[in-house]
Amino acid sequence: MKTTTAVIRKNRIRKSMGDRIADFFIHAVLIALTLIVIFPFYNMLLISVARYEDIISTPLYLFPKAIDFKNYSMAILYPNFLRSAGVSLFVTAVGTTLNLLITLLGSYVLSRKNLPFRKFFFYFILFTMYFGGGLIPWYMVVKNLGFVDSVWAMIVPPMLNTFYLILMRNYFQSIPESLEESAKIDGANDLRIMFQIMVPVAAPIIATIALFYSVDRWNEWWLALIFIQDPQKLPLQLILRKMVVDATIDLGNAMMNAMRDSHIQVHGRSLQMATITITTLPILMVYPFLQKYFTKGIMLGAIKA
Amino acid sequence: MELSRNGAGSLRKNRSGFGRTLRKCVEHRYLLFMLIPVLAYYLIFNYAPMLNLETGGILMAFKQHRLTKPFSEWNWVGLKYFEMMWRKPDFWLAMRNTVFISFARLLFEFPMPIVLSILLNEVARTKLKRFFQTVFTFPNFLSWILIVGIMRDLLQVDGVINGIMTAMSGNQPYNFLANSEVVSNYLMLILSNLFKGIGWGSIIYLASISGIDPSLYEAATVDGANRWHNIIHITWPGIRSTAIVLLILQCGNILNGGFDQIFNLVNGVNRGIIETIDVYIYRYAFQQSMNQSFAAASGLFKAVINFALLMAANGLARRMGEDNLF
Repeated sequence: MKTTTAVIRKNRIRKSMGDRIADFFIHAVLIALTLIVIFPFYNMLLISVARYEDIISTPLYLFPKAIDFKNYSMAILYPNFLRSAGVSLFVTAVGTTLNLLITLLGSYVLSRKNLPFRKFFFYFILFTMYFGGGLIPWYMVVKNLGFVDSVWAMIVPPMLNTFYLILMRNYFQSIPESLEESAKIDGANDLRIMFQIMVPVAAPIIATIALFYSVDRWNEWWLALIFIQDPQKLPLQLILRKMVVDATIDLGNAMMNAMRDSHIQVHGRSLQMATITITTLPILMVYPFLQKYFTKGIMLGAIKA
Repeated sequence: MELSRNGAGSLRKNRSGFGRTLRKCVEHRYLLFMLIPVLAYYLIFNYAPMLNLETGGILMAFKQHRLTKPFSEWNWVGLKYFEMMWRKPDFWLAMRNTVFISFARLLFEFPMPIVLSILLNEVARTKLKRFFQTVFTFPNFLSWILIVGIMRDLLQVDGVINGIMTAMSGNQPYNFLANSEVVSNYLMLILSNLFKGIGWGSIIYLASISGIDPSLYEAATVDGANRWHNIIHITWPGIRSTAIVLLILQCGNILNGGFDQIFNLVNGVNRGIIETIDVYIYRYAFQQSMNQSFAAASGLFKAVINFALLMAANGLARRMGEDNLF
């Protein structure tokens, strides 16, 4: 501790005037950028806890006049809101588990040098990154499989992400072969080697990819948009899209009654921002873990693409 | 070179090739067994849409679309839908928009993560650097629906941005979200994409920078180099090859112009400016005329060009990468 401060102090003395000016400007630019990135989120929170009359009476509402959480209790009353939150949670939990399992299988097997037809399998998978049948032929296939109006439409068609598969394969390839060989000498088969030896060693990349997948599943909206009509099966993202992009706030009965009974007036903006905040929250909660793993995980996986 | 060498080697030892392969398959039966679900996934969701007797796959583009009948009863129409596409002005408008937006992104979006990574590298305090990175990377993990929701609130006519602008200039509020001005639409696309992706994009450059030998900086400083010299002569050469490879790969993606972002921002007013080919295909597939054969034809046309672009870009990137890195 003492030595580091000494080093810093020594560096400070050595810094020239020009260096200090450069330092100032670099920090100024980065702080300005930080404020620009934070401001939209500040605005989101601000509007989500604002009172109707404050938004109406203040042309430029930049600072909170009151902090009021009734917008949140109203947002929850939006038709099917809680149900769709449940759908999103289900898709995220089940989807991520299946994603991870199949990606682990694929990436581990493809990373083994003694796999028969290894090159063929790899190019078989890689080709799909370059060419596809297009939206409509894909849609017809998924429709024919019976995924219309099923929550599984958000789980099965995106079960594998080729990019993540290759990242994980690269990581498995970077694990020294001696580990596998010693297990083989002990008589372990491929299945046991994978689950008992390789998976624990690959924990960092597995955590990274698990978090990527879970964020992807939580953010899923497009598959639901084309396959799901049943309002009971829509994910949270799509409810939000209805509120924000289509801007059709058809307030449900429960919501209308609650508003009338309590003489509560809620601004449409507040309702939108409260919903966005609720949808952002789960990502904010896993973000520290993401932050911890992703740089390392990506770099380890990207050694040789 | 390498291929022919391997080929010759395998020819020489090929006497019991089939038997050996079989033995290898039996020996590694667990590996092959584990691969089955993965191959099944790719067959069903990637290869079946290309060629498939039940739904037609890409052959749909060459048959007359019938909503009520199965694919086998549709009539062959040859290149009718491709001719239709060729004559449609809105198809070429979407193509032009895609290319223009991609070039605007290459010019104005692509360099920004590089600049950010260099700036971040100049921050000496690790904790502060990590704080900046945490803030800049966060928006990447939100969906475009969330980002567009946040943007709309800021950009709408009675939103904060218009509030500040009208207070300062006294002009009428400007409708950022629905107008047909090129500059304002492009600015909206580029700035919002930077907001979401700049921090994420800088990670790969920061990793390249961390691979630079620190003694280079020390030696240069001893020789009297200042901050600027260090950036130009040490940091930038250290990330240049990464930047070139990423630039080439980005060029291969010219026809994929950010579907999620544009799909959630497009409306009747700005369609002529920001609708890209993917959004166009979606519109014809599900919204407008429900002519799925036409949508399939447009999709196939795009997929073929895209394939050529991606192959060219990746080939080039591999060669450049090797030249620069080794």
